[in-house]
Amino acid sequence: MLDEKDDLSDEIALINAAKTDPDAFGLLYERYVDRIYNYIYYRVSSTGDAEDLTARVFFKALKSIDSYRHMGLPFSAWLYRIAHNLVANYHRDRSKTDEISIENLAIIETNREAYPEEFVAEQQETAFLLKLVNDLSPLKKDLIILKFVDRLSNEEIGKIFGKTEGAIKSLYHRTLVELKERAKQNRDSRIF
Amino acid sequence: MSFDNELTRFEEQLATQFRGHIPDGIFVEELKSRLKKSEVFKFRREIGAILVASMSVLLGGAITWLITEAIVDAKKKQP
Repeated sequence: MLDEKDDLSDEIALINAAKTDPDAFGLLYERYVDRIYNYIYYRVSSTGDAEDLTARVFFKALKSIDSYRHMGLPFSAWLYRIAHNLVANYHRDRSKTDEISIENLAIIETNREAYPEEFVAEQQETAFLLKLVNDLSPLKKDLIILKFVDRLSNEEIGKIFGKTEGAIKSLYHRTLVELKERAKQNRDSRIF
Repeated sequence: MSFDNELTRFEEQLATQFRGHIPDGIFVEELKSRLKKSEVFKFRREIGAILVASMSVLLGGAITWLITEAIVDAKKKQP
């Protein structure tokens, strides 16, 4: 509990310093760049676009950090909201009604050389699950990405979506059941 | 297997499959460098300096005015 308070006051001090100190902003950037990049990467169709949007998120954050006030909304949630809006604009500008096509993303190539058969099976399974996630509604898709890719808690996700922790817990359960049912149906249809 | 157990297994499967994707190291470093060199910091420092200078001038003016007023009042009170 005390550690959490210390972490929070450290973060607030860092945010205040980051308004005028480039090194402090650099530290904040290092703390969040991987998470923001991951969130964007799973919602756009290319590494280049993910890098471009990540850069825009941090430049926008730098420009607006003066207006950030710690009023219960963590800095990470504030960054995710910027990322969420920029990704939405990105899809709107390109009129991509199908939004993400994350099943086309490059899949991490662990164990490719050591275990080629297992790698192929794993790759197929990941592609299958990504396709199922891709077919979810935008809100549910965001929830799954934030939960499994960015590893955020229900409380943190709630702050990003402007919903209570209980509402997120309930939405998460419904989404999981929906995904599992879809996975079962798709597997059954592949067998027959 | 119960539905809850199946759901937990499915959740674990999702957690295993959805691993984080690490951004390119060169991109991360270049972006950090661009952010740190941003004109925004210079602009904010200049604004800060202008504000401090303006406040100093105002404070100096107010003190001078108060001292002058006090001297004038003192002179008026002298017989």
